[in-house]
Amino acid sequence: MLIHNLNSLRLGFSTKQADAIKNKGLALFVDEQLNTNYKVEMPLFVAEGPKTLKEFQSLRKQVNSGEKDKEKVANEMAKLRFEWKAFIIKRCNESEFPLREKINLFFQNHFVSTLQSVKVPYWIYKHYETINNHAFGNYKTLVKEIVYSNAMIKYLDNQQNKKDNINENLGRELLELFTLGEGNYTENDIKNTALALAGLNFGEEKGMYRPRLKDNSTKTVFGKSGNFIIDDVIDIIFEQKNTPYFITEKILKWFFYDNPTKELVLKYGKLLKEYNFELQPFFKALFVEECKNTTCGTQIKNPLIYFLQVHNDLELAPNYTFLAFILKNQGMDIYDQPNVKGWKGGKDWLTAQIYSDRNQFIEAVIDGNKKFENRLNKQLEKFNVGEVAFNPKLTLQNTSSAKTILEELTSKMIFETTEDMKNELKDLLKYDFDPSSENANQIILRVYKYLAKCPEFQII
Amino acid sequence: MDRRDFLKLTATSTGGLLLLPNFLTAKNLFSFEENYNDNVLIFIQLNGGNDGLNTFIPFENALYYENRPKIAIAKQDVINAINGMGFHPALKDLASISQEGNLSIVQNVGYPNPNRSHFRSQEIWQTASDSKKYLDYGWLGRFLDIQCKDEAVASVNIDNIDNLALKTSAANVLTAKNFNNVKQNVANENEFKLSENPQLDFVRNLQNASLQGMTEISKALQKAPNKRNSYANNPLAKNLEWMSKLIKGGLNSKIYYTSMGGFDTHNNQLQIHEKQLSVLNDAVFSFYKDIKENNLLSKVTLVIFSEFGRRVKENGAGTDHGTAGPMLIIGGNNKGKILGKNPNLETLDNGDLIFENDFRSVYATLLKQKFNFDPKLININNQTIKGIF
Repeated sequence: MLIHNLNSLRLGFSTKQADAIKNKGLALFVDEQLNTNYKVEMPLFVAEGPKTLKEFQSLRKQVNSGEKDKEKVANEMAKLRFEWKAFIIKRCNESEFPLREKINLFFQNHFVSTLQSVKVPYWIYKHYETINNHAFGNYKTLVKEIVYSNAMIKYLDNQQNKKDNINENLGRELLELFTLGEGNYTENDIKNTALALAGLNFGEEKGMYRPRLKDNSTKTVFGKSGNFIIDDVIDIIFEQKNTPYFITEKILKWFFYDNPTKELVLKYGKLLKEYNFELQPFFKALFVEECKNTTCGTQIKNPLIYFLQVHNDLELAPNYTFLAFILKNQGMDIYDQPNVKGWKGGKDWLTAQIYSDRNQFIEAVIDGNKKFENRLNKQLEKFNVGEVAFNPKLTLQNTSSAKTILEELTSKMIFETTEDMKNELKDLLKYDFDPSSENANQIILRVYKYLAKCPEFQII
Repeated sequence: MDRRDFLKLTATSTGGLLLLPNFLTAKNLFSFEENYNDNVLIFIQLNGGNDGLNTFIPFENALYYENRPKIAIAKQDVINAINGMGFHPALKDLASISQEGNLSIVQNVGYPNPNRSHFRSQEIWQTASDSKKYLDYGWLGRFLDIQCKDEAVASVNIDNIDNLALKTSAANVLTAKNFNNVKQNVANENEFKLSENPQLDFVRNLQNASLQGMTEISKALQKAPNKRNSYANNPLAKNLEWMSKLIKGGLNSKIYYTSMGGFDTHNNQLQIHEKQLSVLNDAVFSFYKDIKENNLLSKVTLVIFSEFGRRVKENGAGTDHGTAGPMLIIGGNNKGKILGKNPNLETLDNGDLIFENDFRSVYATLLKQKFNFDPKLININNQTIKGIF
């Protein structure tokens, strides 16, 4: 695969940035992606929905008292959830800086908070905005901001963590999943972290300590003692050895390798520590350096990249609600991970069923499979998805012969071609194929279909 | 018409139980799965343009030897003479099937305005289009869309790539290279290491299991009787063996398809053609014996064809792309006749044979007489050929 296509996939969600990377050079490209003042405006549907737990609870009261129709409200809430998912996917696909969105999504999958559990759309928006605004600042700050977010407090039940009735959920996950990883802390550390978190409850824009619920005893974490609030504990966590490596390994897995080597984790973990956890220089160094690596076939393609790549390749008009639905089916329900561990990635992205569904989608788009379309429309009826139409168009740079067509498609789509594949491609598009014939486009699409269904296409 | 109605129709058309066809002996009635009663069509597509004149040979026509001083098959080597025509020696077993009365040959099959590009001519055969028209879906695909769109597996293509003939908009067509992984499991990861890349191995292992219809395939393979007839040791034979297993195992597919390459004999024709025809001969004969032994011969119709024949006059040690050629039909209660005139080597079109039978008439015959299906429904308007079945 052409290195620019490879890097476009690594640094985004499709190969559409390949030319920009080629023309600007990697360093400049990464620089541009990382240096903008990138904001997340609040979408209208969030602005119009409930913004506080009180508003949400009063909505529930209205439903319970019969003032509002239960099913109608439930449908509206479901619709809102899908609107948010569509909003995120749209940003990923249409942003001028897809790398920013990919980084945001990484952190969302790290600091998991779900629509199902958090319920208040405004809190989810704030969660995403917080990530976006701190993804290039200091990582320590990001952790603190996220812990204080209403969404996280709700997701991990910290509103139920009170000095007389400790709930360890957030404390445990902070250590186990957000910062250090299993084996790098003790149960005592968890207990004391939870104590430090007691009383951290919902606020207007972000969480705040309720003085009557807060614990004021002396806590001891990692050998240090004091009447800590969570900010202090996080400072201490960041003094521990494993903190840079834990997050570095996850970053490597998200952007480059399902199985990063120990050496690589060490190398970049050290770098993160040297930068004192400043994310912008860290990301820049990581991307510029690792994108030089021409080795591909190291990462199983997640559903978002798969579908956005296909949409871009075939110039399909995206219906983002439809995409949200498909991604949910593919095991990547945006902002609704199955649990706080998030999407594990790697081999978890692909099962026989998921692979089969991807193939069916490709066939439906290229061959026009009426059965699939009908089944889809039936399932999507209640979600108000709107029109879904597939008009695939494949624009190639060099269509002068079967050979050039095959070369261009394989270098764009798959990381390696085996002898078998080369022969099968030659069978599929014989040397005496006439590119000027009336149905040439249809035929080239069939080659795309073959490649998109290959195992090689499921891997970056 | 859905499948249940279709079945009822065939049941009543056997004209009552007074005259039992010979395959429905009392013994066989009880040893069959119900699905054996369905007709099955199998297509073997010979890729490259099989030289018809050296396959079914006009050995009594002097022009044959005049045009092919180097590559003609010697008179004494031609076997099983029928009316001035005979078989290439490599086809000795197909010749014996012919002697048993189970092989029909439709001669001079082609179409108007022949195209000599592999790609385009194959397309024409596969979509049953006019030479200058372009159709999106396969002729069998269009047939299955009407007849079998509810089947879990309407058709099985055993090949490396999809075949345009089966391209469908609604029916379920399965393409697989083989079913080696299927019998034991439907999703067994880490079965064997294929490459140096663990991610790629993982995905490849999923590939077979991910095909739509694998559950039905798996069921059929498990039901198929264990007794293995001995098949020739070549890839085409293996493909036909899989088909036989699936048919015996009661898979509901009506159409099976496979292909074999190596027929584009521009050079070294004598050697290469003989080799390819031997492979074809051995594979088809193995399959024929198997099907016959299991009393399925009347239900299974095997059709062998190629996208074009080759030029009458040789060119060096081989031949150029040509036009018309013979189509071979085995099984399905065919009458065992040679249909059509012997190739006319005198009146040619630019050095090429002029077709006599449009391939779409053969298609129409297959559809009408094996499935009671009106070929006009899929825009095949040719008359059927009388005398095949």
